[in-house]
Amino acid sequence: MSSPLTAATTNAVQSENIAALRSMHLANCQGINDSAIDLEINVTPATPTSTECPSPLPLLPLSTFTLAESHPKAKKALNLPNELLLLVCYNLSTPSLTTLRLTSKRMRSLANIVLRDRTRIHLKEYEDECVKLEGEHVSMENEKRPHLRHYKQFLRNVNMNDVTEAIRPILLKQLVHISPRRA
Amino acid sequence: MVKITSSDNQEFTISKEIANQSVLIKNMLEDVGESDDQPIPLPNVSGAILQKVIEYATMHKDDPPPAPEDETKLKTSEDIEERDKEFMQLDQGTMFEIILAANYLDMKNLLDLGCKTVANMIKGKSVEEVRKLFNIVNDFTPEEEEQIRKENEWCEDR
Repeated sequence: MSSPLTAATTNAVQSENIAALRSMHLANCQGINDSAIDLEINVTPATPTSTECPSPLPLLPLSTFTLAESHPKAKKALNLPNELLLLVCYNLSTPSLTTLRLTSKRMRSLANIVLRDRTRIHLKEYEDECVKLEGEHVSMENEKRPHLRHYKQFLRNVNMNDVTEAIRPILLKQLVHISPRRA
Repeated sequence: MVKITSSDNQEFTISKEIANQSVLIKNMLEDVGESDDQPIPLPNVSGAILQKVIEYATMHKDDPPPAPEDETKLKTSEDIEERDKEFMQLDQGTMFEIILAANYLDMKNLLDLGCKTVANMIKGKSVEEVRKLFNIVNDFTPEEEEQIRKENEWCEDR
């Protein structure tokens, strides 16, 4: 059992904590509002590695666009922050993205990010397929190697009598087929 | 029950399961504790928008949790439920404010719905139609536009 004094102290501490949390939340919200005016987005496109397909798509650095345009009161699509416009772009098909990238420089930069990601996904699929096929090729070669060795040896020491012996049954069969027709 | 207040000091009382659809409010409730009667202030969302958000959360309160996303899978904006399509029949300004509110409140489903709806508005439209729809100013020179058209041909081949 806790004494009334202890309970009162605990309640006071809890209230203080709650008040502190609430004021932190409000401060964060205020911070978001303030920062929305002058915060710059630092989205730098990843440097392409040597394995990537060379793309002719030029990437305008997104850092040239600021969240200053994204005031919550604004009601135009362009006033949504870049990260939200990117989410919209990820829901678009490639033909729609190519249309969108013709509308303005900002939209082109955003669409380029999505298109580059899609190309990378395709390349990854091809790479996985390539690894899978290489594996299949190796296992098939291991399986068939004994037979191949036999044929290689045969081809190295081939002599005409062996060939004649080998094809004689086939020739005979053909002769049987041909003879009745002639008759 | 949970109390929340909008930027214009409108107070809403909602059930905990509705409130928990917002990760922001859920975390706040976990931090503050359930015993507290004080409303949670949401200074980035106006009363009218908060009303719409609550309407959406109430509509989806019984939905199962969303499946984890496959990043390699291409997203599509075709899979919108009929009730969600009706919900998003709003003017453009309200729609963008709902997207901003969903992002602030960390409501993934509503944010996805908003983005898909905007994507559907773009689909099938010409460049000029998209510019007109979203008040986009063409800042390309004719040469740049021609260059982009050539690049687009490369993209569409892929």
